[in-house]
Amino acid sequence: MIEIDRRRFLAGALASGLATAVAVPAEASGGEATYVTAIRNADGSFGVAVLNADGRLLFTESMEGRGHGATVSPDNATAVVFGRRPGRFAAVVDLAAGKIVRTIPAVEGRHFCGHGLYTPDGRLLYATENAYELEKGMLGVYDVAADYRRIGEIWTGGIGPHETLLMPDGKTAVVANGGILIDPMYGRQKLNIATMEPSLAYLDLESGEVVDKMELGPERHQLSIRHISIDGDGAVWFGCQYEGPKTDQVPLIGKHMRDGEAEMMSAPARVMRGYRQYVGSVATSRDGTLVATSSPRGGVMTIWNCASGTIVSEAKIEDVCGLAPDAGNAFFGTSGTGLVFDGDKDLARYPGIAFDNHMRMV
Amino acid sequence: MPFVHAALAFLLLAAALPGAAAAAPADAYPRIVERTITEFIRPGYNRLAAEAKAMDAATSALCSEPSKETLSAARGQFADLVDAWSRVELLRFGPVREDNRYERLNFWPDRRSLGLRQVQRIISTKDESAIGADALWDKSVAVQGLGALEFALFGTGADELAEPGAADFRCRYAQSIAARMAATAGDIAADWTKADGFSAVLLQPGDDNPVYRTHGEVVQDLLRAMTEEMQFVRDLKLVAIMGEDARDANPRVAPFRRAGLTVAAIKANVESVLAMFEKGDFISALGEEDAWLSQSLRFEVGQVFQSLGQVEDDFGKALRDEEKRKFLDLVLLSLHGAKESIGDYYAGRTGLAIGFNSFDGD
Repeated sequence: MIEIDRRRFLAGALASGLATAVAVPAEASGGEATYVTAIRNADGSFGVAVLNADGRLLFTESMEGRGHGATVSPDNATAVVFGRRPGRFAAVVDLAAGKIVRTIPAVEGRHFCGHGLYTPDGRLLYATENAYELEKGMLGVYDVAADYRRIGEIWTGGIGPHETLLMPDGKTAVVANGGILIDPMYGRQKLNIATMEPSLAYLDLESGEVVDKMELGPERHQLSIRHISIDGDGAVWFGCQYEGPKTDQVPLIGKHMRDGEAEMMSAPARVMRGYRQYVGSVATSRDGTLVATSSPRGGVMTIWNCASGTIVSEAKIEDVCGLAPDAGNAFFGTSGTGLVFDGDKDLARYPGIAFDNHMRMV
Repeated sequence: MPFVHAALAFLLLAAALPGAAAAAPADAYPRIVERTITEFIRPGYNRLAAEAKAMDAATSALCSEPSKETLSAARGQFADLVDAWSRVELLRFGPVREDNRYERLNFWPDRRSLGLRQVQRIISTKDESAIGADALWDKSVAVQGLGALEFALFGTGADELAEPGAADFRCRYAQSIAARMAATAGDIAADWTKADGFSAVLLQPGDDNPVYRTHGEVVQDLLRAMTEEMQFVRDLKLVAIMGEDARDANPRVAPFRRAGLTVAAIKANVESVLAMFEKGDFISALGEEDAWLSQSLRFEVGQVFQSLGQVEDDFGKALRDEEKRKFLDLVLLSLHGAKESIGDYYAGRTGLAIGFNSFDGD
């Protein structure tokens, strides 16, 4: 097991004058892998940023509020950044032009929950939404060709849907129903902690039916399933946030193969304590054999071997959250302190920019 | 000599990092944590348990001798109970989080009046299964705390409690709620007093601690409780109820409106933050040059009190009055100022600022 203490590494670099605060000027993308993420600017305003694989900021655009996750169209031409729950907008970004070309407003009685997906043909966009009056999670359906007009919605099989991804079959969506109810009238206040029922639901996008559902059981009903990633074998890795007492020792990371039981990852107590009961992001490596999980609360990131469920490496990185595969078989990541890294190499540090929870590779 | 070098290096580093404390005595943290527990948390919950016990006695007296006097005494005791709760409401960690005790004591907000309807049904059907402190434990959290008791004592039909024989069931239900609250609050107070309980988790951080590595992390969480409370009061108890303008106001969902205690409870919430800051002697972690911060926080809280005093007589009416609403806008401004004093200035000067994603991820 390799432990990289990034804080120590940075402190050393600072003392030797190696790490200089660099804001690299924006320039056009060279066609290599790029990354899209929501940010907070130095003046407190919010936006979206696109970085290249070297950590260079290609462009930033301002948004009307705080964004959260993004999804990229199959042709890699467009990204949609969803407003953070209770978000009232989703921003459509033209990646070649470096511009937000459209803002999708939330419809009456619904708000965005921060994540979504495109169908493989790029014709439809699905967004996780909260129908707060009905107390139901929804996937809102948007017709891309018709200027992202909302043409319908399907029930996610639970409350508080968060991240959603398309399964490898190209027609089933997996949704992490966090189980937490909010109502925009009360902001982000969690209204049903005593009665949460989180689940991982599989939805047939054509019929709109919930075709499979995994629940963690009554003893773990306060373990909110929030972030997911699919590994090379088609197993869904999920990261949870615990709403119960701080002193409870609960597993936070698990994997689920459709139609099977959830398998929670066992790790030394020291490792799980480092998560402070909170997983912020989950991502799979390019070859599908590794999964990375991060916790900004604990300032830790862990890489897991998908097949064995064992820990490959750990790192301490202040306020780390955003994770995506890099061009090799490691992970590209960001933090709320403006750091961009690739594997164990720091690429850049942007003073004043706080990178938000998620990042998506284009 | 090496000693001098190390100190010099520390000072240089501190000077180079904007916002980092130049003179924070880090050994102040253990004392702050200890004082917060012994001077603020334990006395707060002991008082809550005592007021709930007195509530139990007052409702027992009302049920055995229904009269205007005993009803008035019970209603007066309810005000003391709400005050005691409002002064520990900011503590959203520790024993109060076990077994959903927090929600059992005060289920709020009761969105769409779901809890209220359950309470009304218990009273209208004279549901004997809700009688007794133990029986209530197994019921919904919405029917065993302050909201339920408020409806029993102040809601439609409550005046009948003063007439002998007219509201026997309602009275026994009110008494059961008081007894349930006394037991719940008593359990929390006892848990905080235990030497090996949650107090020890806060007082003895370290590698074997299930939650905290350092005293600084504990102080950081205490700061979080204070800043979140300012935000909570602002967003949930004022902004949500004020609406966009006078016509959009929503006085019906103001907390404790039936008992006429909305403003009193908000004042107690705000004063509790100042009390925690002062009783915990948080200022001791800062140097002489920051001593003004205490005065500043006092000033902001004083401003909140002064402005709230202008709307106290009839809060519901004030919400619909454009002129009176200006005082509420001043309250919002002062709450924001108080939150910045603790969350930004104090946390920044001590180096305990919470990162962007760690503070409020998703």
